Amino acid sequence: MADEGGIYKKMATYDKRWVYVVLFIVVLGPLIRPFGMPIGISAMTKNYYNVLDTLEEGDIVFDTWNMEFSGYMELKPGVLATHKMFIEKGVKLCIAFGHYEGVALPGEIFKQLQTWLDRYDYTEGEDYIIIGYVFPNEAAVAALSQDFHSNVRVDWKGESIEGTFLDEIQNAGDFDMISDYTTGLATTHMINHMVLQYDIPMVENSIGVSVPGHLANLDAGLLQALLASTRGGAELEFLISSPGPGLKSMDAFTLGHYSLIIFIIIGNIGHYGWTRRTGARDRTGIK
Amino acid sequence: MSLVAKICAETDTRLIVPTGGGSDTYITREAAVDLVRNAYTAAGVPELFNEEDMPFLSGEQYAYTPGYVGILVRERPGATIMTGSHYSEAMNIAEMANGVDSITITAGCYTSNMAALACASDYIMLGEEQPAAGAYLSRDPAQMASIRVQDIYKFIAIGAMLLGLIAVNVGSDVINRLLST
Amino acid sequence: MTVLVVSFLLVFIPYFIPWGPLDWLSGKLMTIAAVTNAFTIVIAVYSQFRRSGRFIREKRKGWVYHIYLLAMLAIMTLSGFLLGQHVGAYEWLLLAVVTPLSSVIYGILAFYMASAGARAFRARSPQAALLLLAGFVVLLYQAPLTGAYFPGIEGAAVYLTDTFGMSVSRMFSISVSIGAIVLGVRMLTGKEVAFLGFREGEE
Repeated sequence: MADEGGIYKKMATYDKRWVYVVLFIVVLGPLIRPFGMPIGISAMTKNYYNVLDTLEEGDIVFDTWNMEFSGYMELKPGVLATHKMFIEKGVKLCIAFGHYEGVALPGEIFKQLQTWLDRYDYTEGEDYIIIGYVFPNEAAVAALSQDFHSNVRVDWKGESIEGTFLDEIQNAGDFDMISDYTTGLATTHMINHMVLQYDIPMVENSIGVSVPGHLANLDAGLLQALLASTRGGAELEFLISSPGPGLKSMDAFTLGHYSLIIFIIIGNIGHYGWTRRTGARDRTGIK
Repeated sequence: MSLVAKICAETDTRLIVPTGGGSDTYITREAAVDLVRNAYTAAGVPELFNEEDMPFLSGEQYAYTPGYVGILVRERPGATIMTGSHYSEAMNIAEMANGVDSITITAGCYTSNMAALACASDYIMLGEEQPAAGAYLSRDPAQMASIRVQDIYKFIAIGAMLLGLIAVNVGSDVINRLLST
Repeated sequence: MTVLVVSFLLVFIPYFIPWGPLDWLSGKLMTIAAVTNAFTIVIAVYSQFRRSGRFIREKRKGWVYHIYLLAMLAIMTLSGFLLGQHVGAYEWLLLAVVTPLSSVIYGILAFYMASAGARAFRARSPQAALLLLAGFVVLLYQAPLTGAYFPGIEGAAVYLTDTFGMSVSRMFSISVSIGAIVLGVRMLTGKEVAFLGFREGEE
């Protein structure tokens, strides 16, 4: 340690590829061989569960999948757990996509829910209708919210929606709830044109980076409940007693966070020791 | 961007402007090309303007990202300036720019990314700092007036918040009802 | 400019004064806007064909990739239109090519965020140290195991997010909204014409 910095400099300026390697190992290990660590249930998830629990059989929910396939990977536990609740309660779903990749999602999602679909005899056309990619931009959200049947006449396969439960929907205000799964696509537009205009309850399942922004909407009463990313989905799986991909990934989630904290601590110890020793400041810290 | 283009024109610095990343960006490139071409013409060096350095990469962010990162790795720019709404590609670009030792300046307006970009970028303009910077540097009266008006509105909003705080604490919801839809 | 103002009023007024015929007209206008907006992809496709065509004709560096790009563009478009989006080639391309590729780019984000956080979280000053402390509390809370063994951390983390975090995000929302309103007024009064494709002084 006679040279400038020594071990402290190494700790402050470690190669970021070590972060990648360690993160890869601590995430992959528990995914291959889960430990079964306990998890705590947050108040936000309990609130989400309680709000969904108020739905009754026959209620019509506008189920908007404002996510790409990659975003679905993060929201998957929440999406599956929420739909299990919907199926169990017998609510009717009108499913719309906010991204063209939504076309690939129904096959993937309903394949995972097949046991529940069979158990509760939940069928397309009777209990849920997929109207497809209808939210390319804000004008489309506004148009659909004002006059549903002028903008949507057929489902995503081209079959008429006349004679289905969607006959009751004239505008967005006729839905009993909006259930949104979002990576940040049409959500703000929906709040502006549906929630604010028609005062419909809306629940949200959001990716992690968008949660702080949506917390303000939750606090203002624009959202009734918010489910935060993979962790929220895992907690919801626990609450509905249906373990799934969320709970399986919580070990990796925990270890990933702890390893990041350890790297930050190492960096700060190195930074403090190095700058105290040399009086130097390194702008970036690690290369 | 016009200021950056003007400086690049005056100093004969190569300016690369990749556009894309969202479904609203299909027509952005045409506006960007006009803006940069005008800046080079105004600087007296229209021959230095190269439209090939302004590729439209993709309207899809996950196709735009590797295109942008590829440009960073191949061209190794001295500075990377990100303006506008950058969604998930922002972190990819900022980290890769750091990896090629490029100074990163971010002026984003997607609020969810601000925290992450503040960590990843060397310099960041938060929220309204970008239009304020544009107004300050251009000295355009209309832009400066806009910033001034926004400041006035912010004072009005602060006043409304304080009134609402007092009203709620004395048991009245008049401000709340007034501002609710 | 007149068209802009009239269109704006047709959409704006029904928001506050619900009246059947006006609501209908407003809905129709927004539907037209939605469809027109979606057609901007035609501009992008044309622009891409033009640029790639030039690269291929002049055999510039990387011209082979432009052939690949145009071929994939054509295949996806034609398979979707001709065969439908629920069967065969289009669905396979979407599930086997597009979605794994976009998932990979999304997955890389986790590593980049971790390295950016590890790099940026340095207690260089007392304020930075406070921020770091708050960050630690929230990070610890985000790990589910911590909440299971130390339930009290939820209170601290939620307090930090609900006070400091939310106030900042509200601040951004307010300033962005005010900026959008002012920009809208400038557009309606003709002070901002760049979005219409005009330069200043032209109309």
